[in-house]
Amino acid sequence: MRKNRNRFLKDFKLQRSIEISNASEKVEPKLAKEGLLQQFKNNFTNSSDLSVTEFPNLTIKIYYFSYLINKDHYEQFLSKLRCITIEELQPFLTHSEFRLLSDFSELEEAILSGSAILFTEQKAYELPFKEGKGRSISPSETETVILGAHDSFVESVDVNLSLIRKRVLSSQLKTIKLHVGNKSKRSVYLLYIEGVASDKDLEEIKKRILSIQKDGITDTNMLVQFIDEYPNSPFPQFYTTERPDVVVYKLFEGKVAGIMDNSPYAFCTPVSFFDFMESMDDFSQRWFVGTFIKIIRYIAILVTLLFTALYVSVTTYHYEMIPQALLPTLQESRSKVPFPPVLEALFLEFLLELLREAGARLPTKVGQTIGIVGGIVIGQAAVQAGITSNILIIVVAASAIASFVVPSYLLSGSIRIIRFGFIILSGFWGNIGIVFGMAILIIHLSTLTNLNSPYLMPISPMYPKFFKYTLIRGPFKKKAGRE
Amino acid sequence: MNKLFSIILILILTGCAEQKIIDDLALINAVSYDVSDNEKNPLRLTVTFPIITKDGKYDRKTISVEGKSSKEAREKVRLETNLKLESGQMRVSLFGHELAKQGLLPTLLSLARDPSVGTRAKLALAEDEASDILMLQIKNEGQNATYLEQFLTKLNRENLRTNYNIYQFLRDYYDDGIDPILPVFKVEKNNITYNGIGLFHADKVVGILKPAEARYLFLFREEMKEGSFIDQIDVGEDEKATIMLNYELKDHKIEIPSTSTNPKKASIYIELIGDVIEYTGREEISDTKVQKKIETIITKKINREGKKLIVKLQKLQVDPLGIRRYVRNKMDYKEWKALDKYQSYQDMDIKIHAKVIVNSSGKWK
Repeated sequence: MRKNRNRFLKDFKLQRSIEISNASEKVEPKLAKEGLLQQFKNNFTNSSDLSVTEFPNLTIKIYYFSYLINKDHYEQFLSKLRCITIEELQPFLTHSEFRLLSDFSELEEAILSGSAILFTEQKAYELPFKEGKGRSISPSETETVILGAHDSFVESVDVNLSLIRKRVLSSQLKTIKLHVGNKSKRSVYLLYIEGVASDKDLEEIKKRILSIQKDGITDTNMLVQFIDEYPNSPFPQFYTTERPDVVVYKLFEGKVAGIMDNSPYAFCTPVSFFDFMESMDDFSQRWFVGTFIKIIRYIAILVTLLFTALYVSVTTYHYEMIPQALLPTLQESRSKVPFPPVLEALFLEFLLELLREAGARLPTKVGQTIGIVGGIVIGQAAVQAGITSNILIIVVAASAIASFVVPSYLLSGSIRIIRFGFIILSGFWGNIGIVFGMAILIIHLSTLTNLNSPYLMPISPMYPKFFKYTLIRGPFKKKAGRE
Repeated sequence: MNKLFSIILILILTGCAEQKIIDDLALINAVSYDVSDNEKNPLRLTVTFPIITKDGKYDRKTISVEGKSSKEAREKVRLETNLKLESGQMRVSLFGHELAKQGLLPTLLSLARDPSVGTRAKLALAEDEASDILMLQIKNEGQNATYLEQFLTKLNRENLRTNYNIYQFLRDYYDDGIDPILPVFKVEKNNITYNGIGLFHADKVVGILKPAEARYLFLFREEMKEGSFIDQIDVGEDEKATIMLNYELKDHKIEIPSTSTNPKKASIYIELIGDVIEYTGREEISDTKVQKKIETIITKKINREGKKLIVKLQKLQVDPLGIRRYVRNKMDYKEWKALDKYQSYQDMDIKIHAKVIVNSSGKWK
């Protein structure tokens, strides 16, 4: 385990150094000696959407993207400028709201993030007229809860930060701004609570984010795949959520959260497998109910993984396992099917995946038709035509339903993929194949780490003290302090 | 990559398991063994298994063959069906009376050796030919095996403790302190009926107890926890009444008073507490005096009938009550080894001390 981790760290450093050496080759602004205005003009060629307002009497030019700034504020500013003489200009610009820009990269970021840039003959100032356009806060679609707060993140990072700040009324909540990418400088904010989060985690995640040189990262869910340790694992390693209350909960658990501009998702780290099995609803419920629901989720994962595989292995190899009362039904429903159980199961599972994917991409109104067509065609006609057996339909449907019980969409997808592996294993090797697959799966899961913290945290390595916070939803403690 | 390769290698090197897709299998759910008239092939094997007819109906097929041994006969059954023969779903195994007289062990061991046959497969005797029971088509009953299995489970639930399976039979067989028993079935009026208990001396059946006698046998076996006592009792001069008592066994113990090397005495103490469900006598049963009287009558009856039964068992040299186990507990291994177990059992004076308490007289009054 430790060896593995060290190896990973070495790899990571190596990778990073390569990326940095690549980065040093990038074209530096050649015209450092020239004024900022000249540099600006050289870089922003062919930018027809760039607007400019000139004040020849004041010898200033203001550049901006008209759709990024707030027009009203800008007009007010212009009317102020119109009454200013050239002597009054310098004192006016020393107002603190206008930031003096020292180099081009600062300037570039400022204008692209929605400020207007005022150029005097020698200097450049940033005029902050950012316009907060975007979607309004709406309930979360992917992580709905029945009880509890319904707001979710939007694409604007300012709104997202405000949603978190409103929930943590403390100066201990720290935010660090980082940049990702070479050309498009996307900002990533790392959030943590000082004294609660570990500095080591913070340094590590900072290092990893800074080492990303890739452009075109559009979303947090994409970003975390650049900084995780096991890119070839089917399992999601960083917990991403669009719920601010989840983020705040994780922050107080001592985790580091990250949000990216223009992405409605935040990531939390370090997390374990069991974080993906949690929903905020568990905390709203009484702890008995919360624990019960959690246990149901674990069963659901097993059902998704193994139910179809078990059907295949039992009907293909282990007829002894079938209870006698079930045997006639099973034999009768299988008797018309010309395929071996493994093909039959793979066919139906594949059909179900098609149905699910079609439903996910279609507009809601058309999506309903898919449900009806799928339900009738697969449910009724396939059995009557003798392509699949009745029992298999029940089995596949049950495992599909169970796969939607898993609260994390990311994890649910992973589990569904792995299920196919189990079906194939059971088709070739029966129950031995299932046990073998399960062993490999557990070995793999216990190899995984997230920010150097084991993926199966309270189970492997074993910390029974933490079971009631992770495996189940234990009762709350009234005492202050964190475990 | 290396890891992945080795994982794939491990799986491939094992080869594929033999496929047994359930709709291509003849899943034998009951077998029966009989002695046949044929001298060359002395064993008659009958198997029955469910089949799905072409129009999707559930039916059964019964095949009867003669062979030299049970597995040899099974090979012959294989030639008579288009399905793959599998015995992993076998629930009931029947033995004909003739075969049971010759000894069950060879056939039973061949069943026990087969890894696909569970040790929980139930065993039963047929009063006559076992194949008759499997061949019988009971109207609207479907599978004979399911019928028999349910029957045996029901008998067990009704606390006759007769669901002898392979494990229990062999356990009692190899225990030198107790002899195994098996339930007996027969064909009667196009139906399969329970007809008592077969008594075994080692693996050979030596006698059959009728259901009425068998009831007393179970009263003295210790695993009996509750049951019902139905009998005719003499309540007065020339007056007979039927009484039904649902009882619970409060206490059961077997005592061997002497500690000599060859104990001559044994006492069975049982204490029953019961509710009267039916009483056809004229007297008012809710009267405590009458209850006391009935208690003594029943106690006497149990003592008398029990004694009769035990004398019969001793004469047959079978010990289904496991009295020898208590004898064994009284001596060391050398003495036990030296003892002529059956002879000493036969010579024993076994007394029954029953105690009956009538708890209530039912719902009325």
